[in-house]
Amino acid sequence: MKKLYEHTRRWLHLRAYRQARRNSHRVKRTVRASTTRQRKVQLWQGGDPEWAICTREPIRPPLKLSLVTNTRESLAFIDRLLKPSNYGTLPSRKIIDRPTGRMPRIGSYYDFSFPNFLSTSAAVVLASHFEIIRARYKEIPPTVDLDRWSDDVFRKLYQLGFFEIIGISPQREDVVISEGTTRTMQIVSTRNADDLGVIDDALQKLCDFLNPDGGVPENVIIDLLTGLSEAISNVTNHAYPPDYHPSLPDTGRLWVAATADRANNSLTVVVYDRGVTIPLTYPRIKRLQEVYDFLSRTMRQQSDFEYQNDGTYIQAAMLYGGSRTDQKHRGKGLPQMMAVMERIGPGRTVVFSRGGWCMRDSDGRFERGAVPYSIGGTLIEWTVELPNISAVGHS
Amino acid sequence: MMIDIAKSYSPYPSGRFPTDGTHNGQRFRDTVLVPAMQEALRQGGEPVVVNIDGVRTFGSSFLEEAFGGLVRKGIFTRDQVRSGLKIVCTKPHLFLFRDAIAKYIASAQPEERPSLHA
Repeated sequence: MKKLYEHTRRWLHLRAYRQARRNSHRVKRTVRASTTRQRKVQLWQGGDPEWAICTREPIRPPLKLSLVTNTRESLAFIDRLLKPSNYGTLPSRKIIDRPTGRMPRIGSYYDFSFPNFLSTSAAVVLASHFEIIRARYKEIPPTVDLDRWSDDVFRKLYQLGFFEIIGISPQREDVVISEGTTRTMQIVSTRNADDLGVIDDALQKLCDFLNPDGGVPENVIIDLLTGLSEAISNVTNHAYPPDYHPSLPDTGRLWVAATADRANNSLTVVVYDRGVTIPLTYPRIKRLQEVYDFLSRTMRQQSDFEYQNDGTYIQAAMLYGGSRTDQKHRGKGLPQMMAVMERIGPGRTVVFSRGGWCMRDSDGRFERGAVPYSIGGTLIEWTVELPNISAVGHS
Repeated sequence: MMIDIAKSYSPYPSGRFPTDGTHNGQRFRDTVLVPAMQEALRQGGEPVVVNIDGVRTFGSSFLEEAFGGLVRKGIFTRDQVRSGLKIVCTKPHLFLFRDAIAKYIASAQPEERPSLHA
């Protein structure tokens, strides 16, 4: 018999557990729903599952949790998710209250049995949030009713190492996992560029998956790593200034993940930080005349909602750069990233920051927008389409 | 004198300052490049050869701080850097970074030092 890899064994174990619980759980829920308004839920923090009473209504994510294709609903959910008031409302100020002799209680939870799609970017935001929650409350955030989660959502989180990041599963050694037409790099949670080697190894494996015959040209991976290096420098230099005091501490981190998809032969790389955002810092910096001209042309003087001009600030930063330090030799990170992506070839770059977003395709066309909800930091998503890459050379 | 960045420093040089990561531009400049260039000047002025083959990433922050910083920080004059430093690479996809280094050296402006009488 073929030997199972450790991650495959764990995956089969988790799947079997979820399937075994599914039927009995449904029957019990039907009986209890008619007798009490309090909800009985099943928690899992990595050990044995346990039942608990939920005292508040769960919060439902949208059916499709995707920043690019369902921006408004996804950001509305993330904005709500990131508010610290959703935790610590129990008398014990913990995620799970364990009164002696009684069933454990939780205040509220996010009902991940509802969405049937989860994008890589949205999964990175979730992982970052629950990692911070874990550090804040010194307790592993439990999954709630895991057996009811959609297989696609569970698979995406599993592949990205979500359960490892929040402490439910022990850290695994394999950095990439293949499933069907996708191969995913586990989320790297880091504070600086010291993990570029790990990311390089994972990206090479993703590229081998997309193009097993000839691999992907070395320059593409080097360009992607260079773009990542720019993004990481941006985060370490600008995202967490000393006067930044977030509502949830233990920031200073950034999260990197990537997914290769054979269905459209694309590679998606995501970088996310929870720092001060571009729309918050950009108005403070000294700018060139061309930036003033751009902003005066495009900004709305009277806003319908708080973050309405955020997309404009992001586009200005992508076009012209700019640094909080006002030093001429600095602040070129985003334009450099755009240049890197232009070299690679077909694809797109999307930047979400606070309530705004701006997308640039490989033809140089920009699209931007804003919603009255914040992503709680800055997220950059590159999608590279590989078929034509070998035809694109360096200028 | 030859410095092979990938072998003697890191295949992943990145960032400007120590907060950006271990293999940052400031550290490379101060602990590798400057001592090598000073030594080369003492020994008669043969240029220091920096080989960038084998490097897997090159952010603009690293390049500006490491190479542009030589002039910007007033450690060497622009002419000293141009004559005392030679960047070599054989891989075509790294030519871009070789050219970027030349650009950062050419555009670096020496920072004004604070006056003692201020």
